Amino acid sequence: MNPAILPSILNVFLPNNLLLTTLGVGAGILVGTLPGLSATMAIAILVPFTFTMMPIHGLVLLGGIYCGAIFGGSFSAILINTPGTPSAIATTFDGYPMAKKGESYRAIATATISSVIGGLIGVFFLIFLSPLLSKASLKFGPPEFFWLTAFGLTIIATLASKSIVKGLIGGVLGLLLSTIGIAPIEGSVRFSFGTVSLQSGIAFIPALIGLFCIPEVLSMIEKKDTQYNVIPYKRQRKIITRVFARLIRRPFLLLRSSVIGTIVGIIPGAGGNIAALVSYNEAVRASKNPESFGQGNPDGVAAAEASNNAEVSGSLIPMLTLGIPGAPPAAVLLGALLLQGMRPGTELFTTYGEITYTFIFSLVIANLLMLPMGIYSGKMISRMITRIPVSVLAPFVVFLSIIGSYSINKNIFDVYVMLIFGVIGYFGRKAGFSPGPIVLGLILGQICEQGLVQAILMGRAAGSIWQIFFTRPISLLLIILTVFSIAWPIIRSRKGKGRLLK
Amino acid sequence: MMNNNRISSLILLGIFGYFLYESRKFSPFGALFPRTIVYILGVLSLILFVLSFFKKSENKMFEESREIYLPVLTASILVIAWVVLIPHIGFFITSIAFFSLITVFLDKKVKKPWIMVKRLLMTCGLVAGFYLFFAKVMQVPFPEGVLF
Repeated sequence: MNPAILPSILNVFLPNNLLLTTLGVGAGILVGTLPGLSATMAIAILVPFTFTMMPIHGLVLLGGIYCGAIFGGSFSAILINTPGTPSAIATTFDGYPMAKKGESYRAIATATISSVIGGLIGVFFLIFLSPLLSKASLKFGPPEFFWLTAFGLTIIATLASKSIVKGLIGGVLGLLLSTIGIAPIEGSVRFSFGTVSLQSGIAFIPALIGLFCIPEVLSMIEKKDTQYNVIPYKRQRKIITRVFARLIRRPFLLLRSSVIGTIVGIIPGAGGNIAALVSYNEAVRASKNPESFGQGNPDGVAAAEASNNAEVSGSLIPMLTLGIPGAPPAAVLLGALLLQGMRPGTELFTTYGEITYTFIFSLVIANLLMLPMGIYSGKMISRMITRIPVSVLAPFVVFLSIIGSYSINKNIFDVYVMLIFGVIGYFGRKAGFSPGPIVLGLILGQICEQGLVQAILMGRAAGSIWQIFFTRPISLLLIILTVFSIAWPIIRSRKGKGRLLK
Repeated sequence: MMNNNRISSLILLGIFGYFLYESRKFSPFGALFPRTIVYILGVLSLILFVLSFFKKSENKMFEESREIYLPVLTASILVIAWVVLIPHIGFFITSIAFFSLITVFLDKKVKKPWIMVKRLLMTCGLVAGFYLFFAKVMQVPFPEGVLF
């Protein structure tokens, strides 16, 4: 055992560290709840302030913010159908339908408990499997990234519950929109409509806010009621106990989602949004009642939240061991480490062992703190949102959307992008196109294109393009998963028919 | 009357045509991915177009009443004006003005003036609170205007 582990465990319980972790989690939840304010942004803003702090204090604070922000994104995803952070996209699929049925607090309790369990499983992997898993992540090259995104795109079959053609069209539109801007290879400017601001591509967060938020506001206005009665808050007794008992009976759901979250977190470039989407898809596939997903199934919320919180620790594994951040917030944390003169690698676990392990164990405390903070603030926010009249809530959501879209790049053009996507989302929803596949295409498009083009170039250099795509072991595994993911709905429907015939 | 799926597929075919036309100028590797995606979009749009003759769309896009679209249209115009005026008048003033305008517009059925006053005060408090939090704590520099 590393000699730094025991003093680090004791360090975590020092009043200063406990206070900073609590502050970090609280601030993180607040930032995560507000659409457009990401964990990356919150950590980036605070990094300069931590420079004057002792390294342990700074890292503990930033770790708390990271955990809290990823968890906080679920609140707005559940209550107003707007993911507070991109990681909470999959939480909207079942969280919001639950809220519409008056189960907002149950959804928040499910998100809280799953986030805590997922987060703790993630930290477990961070402590024990860091060296092993970080080696596997280094084997991901362009072909593997291409197949990973292909596998990710098969989720469209799950997201498009009503029409598979419309789901595919949504996904393809998202992929097409992701190609706007400068090409990753050869640098042509594509589909910029003569606008300089579009040369850097469509900003993802404003598009996401527009697609999810504005249609919701317009549908609030469509309804003539003065109260936001789509999410009436039902008082229920012993809800925490019941949610906990339900989740405990589904250990594989939480374990599978947390493992997926950790693995996706380890892979550089694939963030919490992809982790949550993949886990959600797997939860649907494994369920005996897949048609209930998207209609308010708590398992959908549990899968997404366990996964995106496990991803937090997953993204720190390659960051601490190899200096390769698994996700954007981890990249900013890497900056904080370097600012303190600490270089990732073996030195972190030997020379700076006490600081590193205190940081890692503080994540355990941060995750545990999310339980009381999430449950109490969730109840409060849930009650508050349902009591605000539509005449205040609708412009308030627009106000937050404007701030969220603007604050990413401090560019008013992003607010226009948000509005345009809002209009597309509103009419798209009316025509039966759900925003999920479009967002999925938009997220995966750039990674998919880069993987495809770079793999082709690698293949040309090696003398065989097909070989580079179809013979590498991780690629093969991902191809099998992709084929299985496409074939599974067909197999299951045939099995179902067989059962019916019997 | 044309159904929603047919209208949607025709719009999508228009997008297919435009993006295909635009992609002719790209370098070979720059065009590889988008052109493949554009062709897939074309095929899927055609499938949707053909299906629209066999399957009636369940969604009501162009059949809803004026009663529904009029408030949506008015609110949309207010939101667009809000965003367009931000760089000219400033974030704080525009937000107070349009937040209040939308609240008054949606509250037109509220007959008690004190409820309206309470909501307008709530509006101003929310905007001011969030403005201060984002501008002063989170250091987000919003477009300045007449006052701030």
